Amino acid sequence: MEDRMESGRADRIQELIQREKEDAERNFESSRFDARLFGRIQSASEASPKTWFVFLRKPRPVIALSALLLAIAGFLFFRKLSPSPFEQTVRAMSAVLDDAGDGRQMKEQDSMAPRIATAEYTEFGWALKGVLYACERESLGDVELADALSRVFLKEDPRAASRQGGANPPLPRADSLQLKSGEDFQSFFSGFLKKFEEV
Amino acid sequence: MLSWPQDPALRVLPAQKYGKVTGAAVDKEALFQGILENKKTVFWICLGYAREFVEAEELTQEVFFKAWTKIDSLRNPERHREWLFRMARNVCFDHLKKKRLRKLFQGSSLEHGRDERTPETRALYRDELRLLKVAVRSLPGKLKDTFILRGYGGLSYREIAAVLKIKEGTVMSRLNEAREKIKSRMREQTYGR
Repeated sequence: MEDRMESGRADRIQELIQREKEDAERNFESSRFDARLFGRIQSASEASPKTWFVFLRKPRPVIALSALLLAIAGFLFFRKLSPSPFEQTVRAMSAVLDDAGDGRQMKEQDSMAPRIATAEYTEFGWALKGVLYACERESLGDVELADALSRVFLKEDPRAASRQGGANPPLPRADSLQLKSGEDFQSFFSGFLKKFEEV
Repeated sequence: MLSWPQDPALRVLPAQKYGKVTGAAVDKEALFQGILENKKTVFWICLGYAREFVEAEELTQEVFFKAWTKIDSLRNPERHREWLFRMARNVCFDHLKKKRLRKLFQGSSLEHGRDERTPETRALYRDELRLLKVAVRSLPGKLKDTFILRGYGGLSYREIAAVLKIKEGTVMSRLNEAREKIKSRMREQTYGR
């Protein structure tokens, strides 16, 4: 009994839908519908955007192109602003010299600064003497830094030496000295730099 | 005689897009006329989702206008029915969503309550139809789609499966479930009064 009622209800559902569709179809005027639809299409096509504006409807290529252009512009900008290798070297050297305390960045108003710079200079001098000793195996304890450097980097002019009659002064005079050169000096200098790094 | 847009760019679809399918350029107008032949089916589907005839007609208008504007996205003209019915389903779904939002802000003024029934609409058919509409509206989305496409649109199981991108077996089970829920809801409303 219940099954029959259920089955009847299912049929009734379909019947109701069918009747609703028929009623709606009677009211549905196909020609009026078409006229209205084509009117809308006509007015929409008349008001359609310009051809160049159409790309906005497909934003993906635009976004991709913009990103590419932005990346290129960024790269060029970075290259223009970034320092050249020469500038980078100069900056690195300046930083090293500043750390070594050459005193160029001292402020005159700061009374402590000259003393600190002097102390650093003395320390630097001893470090340099240590390097020179490691290279030349000669004690440079009481010798001035400039003289110590002269001993290492300069050699006596042979002509000046002959004029002085073979005399061997304790420290060579500046006008009778020449800068060392040649392969020996190059190997010495590379050794010097290595020792300097170690010290 | 219907007046079609005069702009050639709007009339003819690019040959390269449809060349693989048809071997030649497809006339946009001819293709749309073919799509328009499904007007009744779309109207019935919209009727299933809508509350009344006028609303269904508006939705049908919207579906075909959208179909015209989006016709370039139709990759395979041979399967235009699936494409169209999916679009109809989406338009109706969006419409119902907007309507729910409006209702949320405007209260239940859009609802056809029992008090609105006039003596004429108290006829058995009207009453039952109202119950059916309420029951269909109360179905979960998936069941509602399946039931309307079958019950109102008269689509085959295969077509429904293609439109909803599900298996035919799923269509059948959903349809059974939807019918059961509708019957149960109608029974509740009938005896619950």
